[in-house]
Amino acid sequence: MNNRFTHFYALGLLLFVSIQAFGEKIRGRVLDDKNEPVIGATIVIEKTKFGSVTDALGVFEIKNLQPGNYKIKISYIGYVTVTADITAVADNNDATPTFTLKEDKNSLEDVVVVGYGTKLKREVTGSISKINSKELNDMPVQSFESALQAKLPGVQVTTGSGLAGSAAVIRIRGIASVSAGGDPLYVVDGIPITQDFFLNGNSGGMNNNPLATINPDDIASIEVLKDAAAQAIYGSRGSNGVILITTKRGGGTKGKLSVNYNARVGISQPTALPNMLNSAQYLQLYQEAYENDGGVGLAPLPGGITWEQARRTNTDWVDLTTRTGFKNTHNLSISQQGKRGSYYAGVGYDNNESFLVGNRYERVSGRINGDYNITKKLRVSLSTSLSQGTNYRANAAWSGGLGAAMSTALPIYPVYDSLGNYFQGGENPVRIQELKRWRTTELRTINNAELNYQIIEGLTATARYSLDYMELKDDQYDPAALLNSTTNIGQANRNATFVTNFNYYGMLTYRKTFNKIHNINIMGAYEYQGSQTKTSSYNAANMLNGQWDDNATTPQTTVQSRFNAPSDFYFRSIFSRLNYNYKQRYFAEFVIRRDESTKFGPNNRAGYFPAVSATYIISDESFFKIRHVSTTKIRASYGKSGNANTPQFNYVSIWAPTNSSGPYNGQPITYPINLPNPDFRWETSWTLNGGIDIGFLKDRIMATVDVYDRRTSDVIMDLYTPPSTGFSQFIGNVGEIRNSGVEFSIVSRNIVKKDFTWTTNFNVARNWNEITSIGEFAQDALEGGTNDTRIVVGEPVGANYLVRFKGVDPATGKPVYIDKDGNETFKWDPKDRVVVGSVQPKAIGGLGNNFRYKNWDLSFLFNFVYGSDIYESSAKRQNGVVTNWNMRTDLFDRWQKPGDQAAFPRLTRNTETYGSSTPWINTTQWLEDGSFIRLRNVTIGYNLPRSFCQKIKLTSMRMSLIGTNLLTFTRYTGLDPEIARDFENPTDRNMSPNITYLTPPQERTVTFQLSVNF
Amino acid sequence: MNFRYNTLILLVVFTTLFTLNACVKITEEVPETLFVEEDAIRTPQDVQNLLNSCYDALANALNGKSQSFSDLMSDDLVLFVSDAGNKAEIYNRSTIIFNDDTRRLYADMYIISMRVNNLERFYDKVGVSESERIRISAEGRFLRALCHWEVAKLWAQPPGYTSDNSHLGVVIRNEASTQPKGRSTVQETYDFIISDLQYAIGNLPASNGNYATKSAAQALLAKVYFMLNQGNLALPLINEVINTSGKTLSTSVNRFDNAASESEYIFKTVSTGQNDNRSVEFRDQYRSDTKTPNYTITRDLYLALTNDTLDKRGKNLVQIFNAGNSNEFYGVTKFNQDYFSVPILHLTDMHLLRAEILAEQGTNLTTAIDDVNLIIKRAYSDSLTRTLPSNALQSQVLAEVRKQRRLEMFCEGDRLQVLKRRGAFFEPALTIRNAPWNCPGMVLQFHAREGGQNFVFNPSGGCN
Repeated sequence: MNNRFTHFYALGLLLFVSIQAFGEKIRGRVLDDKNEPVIGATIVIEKTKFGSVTDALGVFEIKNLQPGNYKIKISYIGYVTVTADITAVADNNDATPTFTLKEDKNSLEDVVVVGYGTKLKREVTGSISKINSKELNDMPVQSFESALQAKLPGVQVTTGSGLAGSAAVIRIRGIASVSAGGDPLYVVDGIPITQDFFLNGNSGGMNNNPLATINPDDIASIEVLKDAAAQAIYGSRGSNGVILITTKRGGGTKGKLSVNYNARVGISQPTALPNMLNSAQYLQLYQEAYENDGGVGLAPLPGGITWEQARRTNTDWVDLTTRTGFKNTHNLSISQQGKRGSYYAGVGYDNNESFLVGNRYERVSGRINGDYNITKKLRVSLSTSLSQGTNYRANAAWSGGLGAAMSTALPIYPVYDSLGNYFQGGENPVRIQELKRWRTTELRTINNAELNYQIIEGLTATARYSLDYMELKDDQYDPAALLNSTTNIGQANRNATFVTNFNYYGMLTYRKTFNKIHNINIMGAYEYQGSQTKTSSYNAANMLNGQWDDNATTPQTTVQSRFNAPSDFYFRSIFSRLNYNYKQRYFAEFVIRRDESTKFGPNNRAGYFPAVSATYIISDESFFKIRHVSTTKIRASYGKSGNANTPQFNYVSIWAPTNSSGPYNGQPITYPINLPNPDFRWETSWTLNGGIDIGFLKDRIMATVDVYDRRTSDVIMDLYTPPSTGFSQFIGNVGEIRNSGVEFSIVSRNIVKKDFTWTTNFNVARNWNEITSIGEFAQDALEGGTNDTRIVVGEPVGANYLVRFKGVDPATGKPVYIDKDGNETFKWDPKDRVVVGSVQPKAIGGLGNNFRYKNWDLSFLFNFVYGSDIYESSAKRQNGVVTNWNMRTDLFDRWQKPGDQAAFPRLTRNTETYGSSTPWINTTQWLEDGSFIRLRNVTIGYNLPRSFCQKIKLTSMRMSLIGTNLLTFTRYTGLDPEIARDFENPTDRNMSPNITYLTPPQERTVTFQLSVNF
Repeated sequence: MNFRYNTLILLVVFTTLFTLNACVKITEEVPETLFVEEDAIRTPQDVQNLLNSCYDALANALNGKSQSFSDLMSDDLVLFVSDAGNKAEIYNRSTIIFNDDTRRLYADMYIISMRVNNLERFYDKVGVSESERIRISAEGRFLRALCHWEVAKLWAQPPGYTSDNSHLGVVIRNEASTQPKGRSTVQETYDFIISDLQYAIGNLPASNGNYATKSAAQALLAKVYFMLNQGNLALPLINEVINTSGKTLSTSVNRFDNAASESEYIFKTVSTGQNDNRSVEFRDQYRSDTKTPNYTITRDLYLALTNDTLDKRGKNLVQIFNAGNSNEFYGVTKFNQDYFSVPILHLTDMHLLRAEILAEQGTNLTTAIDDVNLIIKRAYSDSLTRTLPSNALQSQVLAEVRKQRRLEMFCEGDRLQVLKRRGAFFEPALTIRNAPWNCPGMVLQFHAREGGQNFVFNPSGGCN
């Protein structure tokens, strides 16, 4: 801003000088390291008050000078100031000498994207973490957000399971929501995008991933806003953190077309496979359970299978439902910068097979981003992307496939019967996989148009319109053979969702510098956002194979409907941000936003979200002289933000129409489903943050420490109301949650030599999470799925609430539980449940090392989670009461006779043996330490020598071999300690992060990558 | 550009933005797919529809569920199905806080109360007349009392469990709310029920079609007083019902034969067809002609019904199946219908109730004998040999009344309650299927979701 002021000031001086009527001038052009024009650089003639700033072409002029030589000082934030000599020339002489500014590598001069603008890192008063394109694309991922894992402190990324295109779960500084979405707000180039993970429920054992269609190769940088100072500008939607995604724009050497081609080919395998019983083992244990229960003779087998048939069969369902998946990705992009504009265009193709038979995700995407300076003061920027992601689905988890292989597909079941037909006497995942056709297609386009006009010096107006449109179509086709129908040759079902999400805002920004030391930057804006959803479905019988997803051939029997989903919502906002700094050393920021939304009840339709923050760069003080400490920046912030990631119309009273049920006694009935809740509103978080950025040895080592305390009230909870209320559920602002924590990160350039560099990155974070209130409700008012995770005051969100399992009674082989009073008992009673284990990790983080030797490089990244437990919900069925599930070899360590010391009790089919009337009971027997350290990524790369590249007309060429998830160190005995399960709803997603239920493991990949620039 | 020109552009741009912003709607439009309160309640008829939904909910709760859960804990029934899950917990009298069957019944009962509590919100809004308000409220309070009493009978120990009834009763719901609430004492619970019923008696019409009447409220209050062992308060109500309700005893022994027994129904829930069947649980659990029933009666009850070959109830209402085999069972045949209306309050009960109260008091045995003989005469082929003599002793009368009550009202959810009452007020050592009448498992456990911060659950543990 001082540049703008300087320009203004200089103009005044020039006006004064013009009175002197001299006719000489100095003129020049300022470029950066890449020969790009530096716009807004300040030029001052030393020992005078004459000066100017560079225009959009980097050109400056100072007129009305006396003839002679001048010494000028050229400065611009982020660049090293240059002093140069220049000779005044005649006014009609347009010779333009060039001056080059070198980038100042000081760590505080990086540009950081903040909400509705950018800042230098020096100016940032809040807590913001950033990764750039290179870090984002250094390994293949299911979806771009997975690449954030282990790289940013306080950002917990649990990669989606091995399913192709699956979504990661991201938690920023813990979890502060229960039934509202706990995920951060995703903003792509200025628009909060549609990010509903439940548009398709959890059909097939997978949640839809709305982020998968975004091509990671199009992303220039990702910023994560973590504290209230950074989040408050997003008001009622920022409190769970904001992830700002900025896509690539034109750049490079002016006038030169830059082309980049990037290709990857690789394989995918599961990180672990389940240890299910084979046929002989299954028969032995099944019979043992039968005899333990007093059975005589051979036990009747499930599925109508005879013992003779069972002994002849040994189907390895795990092997039949898994494979080695192949992946290939191709991205081609071009970018160019001209005199007045620039553009970036990219296309991408990604074919990502998972290790599950029949499952792959295919993405085709294209993007064009352009900027054009219509005049010196008016610039237009356009961005458009179009992508289609097609997920060729395979059932997983509870829905079948590998999940069936781990449960109800018994090894005694054959794939085909004696006549060569599919076996149908019991679970047969191969039959379903081979007969069913299922795909989910997401078409998505994200577009922006922006006008930026400089009204007067320092005052800029911006108008922007964005459109995010998504079509999600889930198509399934069941042929007659799957339907077992003689009258229906095929059943086609389509469920489609169409979401139109748009926003526009107008923004005024004013920068001014007073007396060279007082810098202000004021921003004010209006924003309007709307999201409109329509859904449609059809179900058609007698569809031929191939017609199943073709609307044009839909026969008359099709039942179609298209209607507005009750989920349209609108936000209208006004917000402002005031920045002030003194001598570029003391920074203060005040942000306030007013959000008005249809999501909130009539009594609380609008809310205000203020935040204040300050930064002090103490290392810039003359008195600050600590040996080896090069940079010290102290930050503090306090503010309010909200979370409104909840469905529309939670506040209205829904009733049963008179024609929907009844009548009674021949007369109509109507009744309320819920009470009105006009007070319904956003979740409110007040966050106090303190941080320090400190650099050592000329910033060779940079460390950041942040501490925070976030207190969230009005937590939205979708509660099971006491049945005596007459209602089954109630959605309201009920709870209070506290998150506090500490984050530490360090980047160390250990060795910096011409031929060898070594850089180390390390980050670790600890978050303490605690429910501080749930009003009058008790722990069983909320359930995280069906897994006995609960909301208990004084405990973290989703605490495991279980009956304690002590062990196996050597005398009887029965399981021994511990009741609430600490006494041993054979009776399982849920009243004896207590909070156990640790649902939230005690520490998360990552350790990365990058080595470069000449043209070779090696990098590896570990991520770790320490101190969280995993509840293996499917183990209670695999290793519990013997039912129609297959079992695991773990049961070899079972009680068989009095005196046995065993891990598992006597086998039984009688639930009463285990002290319960129901077969699948939750106990601590299935709770395990889920800590792990994982070698997340290893990359060996080779950059072809520049000389060789030039010979073959290339700018650069790189080849690399990348391995992901190659090693995992853990004591967890299940499949994979990193779990992102399919969730039933947001409550389940927030409350049961550590539950696994037949969840596919993560994938291990080996990929070859080729990157070519020319 | 000069400053004024710039300013003009600035004004135009932002005036446009402001105007656009002002034009767009921020008020929500509730889509047609959502049927909201404003759509539901527009006229007085809509309020009547809401009241009708209370009866609808009651009919779904009393379709055999409430009655059979009570009987499963008594000495009348056998759970004749393996792997019965939640039902086994009830039968074994060891329900836990995750029993979804008991939760559903409990919730069904309180749905009635919730809807009743919503009625008054709309009187002014849609202009319900004063007389209609009184009638609607009276019907509502009758239903609210009935559902609270049904819950109290199953989830709380009976009156007399403590001398002052200070033991925990159930949650009283007298206003619409989504918030947790603690349990009231049994005394408070019964006071609330009585208050509602007294209001109902004072304001219900004598005749009201298939809906609640003054006689229904009187009959119900009489039964409540009976459970409280306040016979003197029950007797006038019973007398008035018997004398003024216009109901007459049926000639049939099968009270669930609607056509034959309609005349003695004081209050019933209505089934109009297979698709409007409010007797589903009776049919599905007991029916013995089309499938093996899940619930059968005990050998003891079967013999009590059939030992006297003249007893028409033994011949017509129960049957032995697979006699002599290992899978022998005693089935109930009175529910062998596709659907039927369910009598909730009936004249037989009133006569037996009066007889028992009088027999216990020993003050007016003549009327007691007359009452029980009315039932006997209907039940036995040769009724004259079975009736009580006019000089029967008090103990004989009492024994006969209690016997006839069991034989008349088996599977109506009555048995457990009368036994508990006897245990509480007359026979402290009484056992029910080998367990003390007041053991912890003799009441159902509340579901986990009922528990608010200060909610007190029933004690853990069954009766063994």
